[in-house]
Amino acid sequence: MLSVKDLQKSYLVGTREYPVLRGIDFKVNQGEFVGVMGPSGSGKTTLLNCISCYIPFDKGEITLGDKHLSRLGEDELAAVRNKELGFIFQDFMLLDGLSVKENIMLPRIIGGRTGPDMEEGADRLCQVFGIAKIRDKYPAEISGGEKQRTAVARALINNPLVILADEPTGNLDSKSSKAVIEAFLQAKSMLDATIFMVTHDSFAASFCDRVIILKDGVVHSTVSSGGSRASFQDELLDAIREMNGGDAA
Amino acid sequence: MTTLAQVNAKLRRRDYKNSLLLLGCILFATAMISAFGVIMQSDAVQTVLPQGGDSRKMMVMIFVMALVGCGIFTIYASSLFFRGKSRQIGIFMVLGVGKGQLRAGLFTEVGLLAITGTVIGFLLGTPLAAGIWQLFRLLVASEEMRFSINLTGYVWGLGFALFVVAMLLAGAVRFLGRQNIMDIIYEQRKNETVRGVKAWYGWGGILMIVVGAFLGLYGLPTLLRDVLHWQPPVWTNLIYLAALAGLYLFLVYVVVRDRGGKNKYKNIIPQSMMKFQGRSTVRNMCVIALLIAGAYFATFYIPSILTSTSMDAQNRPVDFVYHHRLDENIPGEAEVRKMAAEENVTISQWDESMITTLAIDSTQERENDDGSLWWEYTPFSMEHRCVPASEFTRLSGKPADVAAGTFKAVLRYAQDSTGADHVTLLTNPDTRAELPVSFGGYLSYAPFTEYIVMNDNDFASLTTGLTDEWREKMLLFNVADVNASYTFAKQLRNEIIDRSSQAVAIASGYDRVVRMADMESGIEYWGDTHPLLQLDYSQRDSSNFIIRWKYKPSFRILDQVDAVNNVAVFVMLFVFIAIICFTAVFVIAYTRCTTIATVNRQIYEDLRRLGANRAYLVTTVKKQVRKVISIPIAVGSVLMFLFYTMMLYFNSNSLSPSELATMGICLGFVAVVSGLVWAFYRFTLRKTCQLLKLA
Repeated sequence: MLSVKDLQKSYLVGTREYPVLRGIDFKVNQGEFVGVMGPSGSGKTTLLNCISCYIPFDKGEITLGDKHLSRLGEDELAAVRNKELGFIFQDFMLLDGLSVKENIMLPRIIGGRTGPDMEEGADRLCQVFGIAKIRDKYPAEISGGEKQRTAVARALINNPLVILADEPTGNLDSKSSKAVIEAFLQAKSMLDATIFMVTHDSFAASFCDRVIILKDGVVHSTVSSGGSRASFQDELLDAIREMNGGDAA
Repeated sequence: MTTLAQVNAKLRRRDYKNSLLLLGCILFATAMISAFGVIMQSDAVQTVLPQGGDSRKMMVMIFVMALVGCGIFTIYASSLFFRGKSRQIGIFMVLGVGKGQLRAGLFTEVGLLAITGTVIGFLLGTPLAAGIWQLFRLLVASEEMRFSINLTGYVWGLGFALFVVAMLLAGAVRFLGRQNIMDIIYEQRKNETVRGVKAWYGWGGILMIVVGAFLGLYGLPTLLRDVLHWQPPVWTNLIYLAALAGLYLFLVYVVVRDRGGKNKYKNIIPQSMMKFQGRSTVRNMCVIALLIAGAYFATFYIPSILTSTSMDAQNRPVDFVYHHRLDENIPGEAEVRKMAAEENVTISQWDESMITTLAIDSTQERENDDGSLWWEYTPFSMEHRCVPASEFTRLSGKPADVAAGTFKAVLRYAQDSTGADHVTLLTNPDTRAELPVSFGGYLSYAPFTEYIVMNDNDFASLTTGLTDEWREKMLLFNVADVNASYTFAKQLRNEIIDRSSQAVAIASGYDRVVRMADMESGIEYWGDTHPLLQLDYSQRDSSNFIIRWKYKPSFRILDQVDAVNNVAVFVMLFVFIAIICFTAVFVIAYTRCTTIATVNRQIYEDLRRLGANRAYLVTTVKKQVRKVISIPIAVGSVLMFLFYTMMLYFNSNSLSPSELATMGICLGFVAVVSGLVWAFYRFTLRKTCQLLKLA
């Protein structure tokens, strides 16, 4: 589904080059819920931004389905973002001037697929994520958790190949965080969605099938879920502690 | 809602304030420039400010300032607009809107705003110009203040409108040309810290401002001209950039520099907020300081003209003075007394004097093709009015004591030198008889201002054989009640003009000695054809004629009552530019202050969560708003006041009483404007607090 090979990316600050990603390799399969964890500066968000093609990368290959993203032109990339990727951000990225339902329908409107099923699809997603009652409200009138569930619904309206989520619970309280994670799990089980989530939150990560741990721009380790959610969270905490040389994250 | 165009339309409706601000700024700037263009090209202004004259150059300079001010102002408004749009555009890009679709949407929006704003602004320009013009007509009853429209007046407004449309479209192209979507989304949060601000920026900035202004105004021209004998080329004005750089450094220091000491944490919140928006804040403050300086430059000019005219008229010892060539048929004592009687004006004292015009020598600066200067001595150089010492003493009641072979020069009111100090040779322009002379000192008596006072015997011998063309009669009289003599004065002035021949329809700069020298060298004298020196009697009531006629009468009552009328066009132009600059200052300062609210909204929300109370938050807003408004306005005001004082001082290396009075009036005006600025500060503070829900 999603394949990343030898991905490298540096930032130029003044005349000095700072490598952020130093050869990342991994694969994400259809219907898989994969998390990325790591300390600040390990390259998590840069990795996500490269996969999303928000920022150009220096070297390597990102393949989505059968498309090599680095070989696509601007318009083709826009089409990929619209049809094959869904995005969820820490700060929601909803348009304040559009209602909840209109925000959800936006990717369809952009893609020109505005048939009668568009509104039905949006209504269904509102039902699935428990935001049907607020669908005519504007972002300024709803809570953070509701905003994030709106963003999840928006990410799913085009049935994308992969949902890319950047710290989706970072701005939320525990109740809202749980609601968003449940939304992901629903999307996975009901819609067979593939989810790739960057997070600092070991609780959120413990719902993943697999978590890739980054350190200093390379994959430090990968931890897969085998038993219960709680034991997986403990495993993640151990892996992070081990990465930090014995200190808890 | 099924298309992106409909989405854009809805977002525009919901976020209309961003578009409205840009539209308002475009409309205002275009209307101002269009109105200025219409006024500048009107018949009245074109007549009053002659082609090639200093006043025309000053008007063009001020117009350029207005253009730059309005241009900067519009560019700033457009940058705010694009910043406001960045999040929406970024989200569209994230969700897969192609560049083509974005281009269509953004170009449509920007194009609509630019075209609507410029078209309405352009159309409003003419009624605005007419309105301002009529307002001045209510205040000033000048004959020449007739409003007229010339098509050329529209060129400026049209040009500015095209500039605005092109600038906005170019801004849209540049905005969409960026590749990094995250940069676009987070444009509004962009950190603009100015790094590496040194402690010397404060005093160094002030030093650069002072040195730049001094060198530009006096130091560099003096060095080049007097020491190196080079004509200062236009590029030497670039030295003023040092003052501009100094202003930037000083404002950077004030805005960005962290304070030490035990209270260093007291202002940490407002200081850090301003610091993180440092670059654009300082840029805006620079523009505000320059615009306020421009506004004051324009307004200071008005009292400068009026005070010198008024004090000059007040200090004259005689109410009515006029002079004419002996070959002209101008009313004499009998006719004037008859006219006065008809108007019930009593002439209390009458005097007459014979004066002559002789040629003087001069050493003038000439410029080589490469810009270097050399001095050329011309024995038969220019004309100058002369009077014998006995006549000077008889009329002024002051002793003259001019020894043979010397002369004395009569000073202008409140000045301490004249252009005649270096004369060494006097020549009879008819017989070419010459008399070497030396400068013997100064005298003062207003009717003979800038005359040469000669020894009686020298005068008699040198003027022998002089024709009537070079001889003049001066008539001087007082009236019992000068305040009741306005109508009579006007009638007499008109009679003098109406009876003057075409030979004397010339401006004061017309020089018959230069003309003779040119003609003897086979050159056509430029003053015979140039409109700067040729006057038209049909325009006798125009300020151009009144101020510049070579034989203009000095009637105290007319000079006092008509002082404002005579400079009405100047006053209107300068007030107009001041309006443009002041308005631009207020709009830029207001938008900058409201930007504090829009950029830092989240920080204020966080501070609230951290337990900051309303009073604390309002104080942090107040400190920022106060800084944005007060510092550049104070800096601009002080700098222009000092610059203007320096300008007046270096004119004559001293400050005359009229110049001191001018500075006093200017200071009073600064105080009034400062009061308005305070009211504006209160209003802006309230609005900014409202935006942060602190009101």
